[in-house]
Amino acid sequence: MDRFNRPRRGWVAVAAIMIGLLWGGTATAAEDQAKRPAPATAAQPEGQPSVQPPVQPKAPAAAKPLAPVIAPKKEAEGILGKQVYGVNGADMGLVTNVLVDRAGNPIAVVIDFGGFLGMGIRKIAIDWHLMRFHPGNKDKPVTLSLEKGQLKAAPTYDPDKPPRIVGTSAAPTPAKPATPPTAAQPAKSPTPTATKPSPPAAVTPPTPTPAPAAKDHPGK
Amino acid sequence: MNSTGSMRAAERGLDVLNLFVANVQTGFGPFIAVYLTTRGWTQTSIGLALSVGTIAAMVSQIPAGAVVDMTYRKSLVAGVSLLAFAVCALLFAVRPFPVTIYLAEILHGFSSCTLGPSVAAMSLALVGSAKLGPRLGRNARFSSVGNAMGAALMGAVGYYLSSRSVFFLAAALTFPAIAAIWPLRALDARAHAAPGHRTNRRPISIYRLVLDRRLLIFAVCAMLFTFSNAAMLPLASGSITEEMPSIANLLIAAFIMLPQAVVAIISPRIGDYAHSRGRRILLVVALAALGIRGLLFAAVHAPVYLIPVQLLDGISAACFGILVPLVTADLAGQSGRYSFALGLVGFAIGIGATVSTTVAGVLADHIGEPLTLLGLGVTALASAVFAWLVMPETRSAAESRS
Repeated sequence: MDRFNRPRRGWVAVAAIMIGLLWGGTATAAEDQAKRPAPATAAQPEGQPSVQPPVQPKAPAAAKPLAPVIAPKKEAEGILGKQVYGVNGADMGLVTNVLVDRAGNPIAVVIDFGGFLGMGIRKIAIDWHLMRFHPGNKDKPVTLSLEKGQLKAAPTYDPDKPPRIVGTSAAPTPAKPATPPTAAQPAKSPTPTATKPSPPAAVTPPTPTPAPAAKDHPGK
Repeated sequence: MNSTGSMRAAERGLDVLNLFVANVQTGFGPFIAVYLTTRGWTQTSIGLALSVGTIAAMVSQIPAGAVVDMTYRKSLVAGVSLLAFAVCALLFAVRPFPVTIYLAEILHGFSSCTLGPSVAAMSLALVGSAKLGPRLGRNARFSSVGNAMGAALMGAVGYYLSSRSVFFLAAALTFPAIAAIWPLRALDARAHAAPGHRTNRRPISIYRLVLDRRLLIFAVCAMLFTFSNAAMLPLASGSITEEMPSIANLLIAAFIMLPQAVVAIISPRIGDYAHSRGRRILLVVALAALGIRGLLFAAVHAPVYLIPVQLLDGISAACFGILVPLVTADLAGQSGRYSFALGLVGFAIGIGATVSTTVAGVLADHIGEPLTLLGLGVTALASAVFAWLVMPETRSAAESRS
């Protein structure tokens, strides 16, 4: 059985080289990730000067470094990839995206819903106002006042089409440039009712108004 | 050296190897997308990472086959491939950053393409071409048990612990697989002495192999099978999530497990049948069962009634899983280019799978899921007719004598 000694030494050498190469080659990846620029909050719509830009405190013309504002401890938290819990702690899936309007206001959260070991997952956009966020709560950072059954027949979110959002009231979406900025728009939050027995209260038909831009930023 | 004892040990080693390889591979499935999502990856970068893996696996099929053909130490190839799997799984778990994940996807794609042919070649070396059918039936049985075990284990670990621990589990499971290779080392010497190895006889020219009409027809059939098959379950399970969201995950788990159970039960019989009656009829059965399944998916809407339809998946998966290494061995097993030929068929399968999900996605958008499923089913039925008319029987005369 002499000849089997050679292969065995070969195994060890090849394995050592492979592990070494991969570990060494990726040592800087962590730093790259850390240095990645923060995502833009809202994609800028192009060539639409008629719409008044969102009023935002502008930085002074002189490029003065912004003083960092430290959020109160645990009061700000990322939600991408967080698990969403429904009524009774049901697993409603993972947050994969946030849809915002031109003013940068969040409109909906896209979740990866359902499935087993990654099979059978559907993307569903859910009205922002149905979501509750609990920064600092490790167990349930994001909750949703819906039951699984209420997502029956919910439309699949397709990034290439005007988003159809579950739970949005029939009223037009908040950001409608055509309407003059009348002072008091009716409170746009359709108070989430957890006890709603019927499937998704209202599913807005595709709105003709500008689609909220997806806050998507490629990984590289 | 007592040859019978060591051969029996090798038989058992091959069983265990198939079991754990299937176990480990479950961790590299669609679950990766879930894991990367929990790490805050955007959908764009997840899509990119998965495409990198798919492309790597497809591009390396044929070169990896050629590499496996170059050595008679198939057990070494299998061991290194499994070590590579362990490295990939650990990279996923420990360093989920873009560069690392892309590297791990590429490494996993290539080592899958070296592992498959080396296991097939060891099976061939163990039993010889005349008795390969029953042995492949046994391989398929242990693989499907491993798939089901892996899905159950990793589903539980992912649910109760974290999606990251799934990859630690996958890495840990490569070790029993590597241990199972130990008794298979004796096969290397056997393959070395076997007729058809390049040290004994020059391998046939690649052109002769590629121009073998039977191999091309079989590759086309394999491509058509995967084209019809790959998108079917994802489409159907998507609509299950839509129609029965409350229990969709349980239903989909049943959809995945049931065919595995069927494969585990019937595979040895299918292998015996291929041995005694021939391969062509099984190819036709695989495609026909797939076609009928597509039609039923299109016609039946209540998800609960679809569970029995998945029995058909078990039938076609068992036939197809055995036929790919078996028919290829019939045509190229003694040519010195068995792994290359497997790579060729694997490449055709890869094309079928990629085109399938893309085309089905576009079709489902335009004509809806039921019509898309109908189309896939009709394609499979047409392929069954094609196989019936064109595919020659490849079972050798020697086998009918044995």
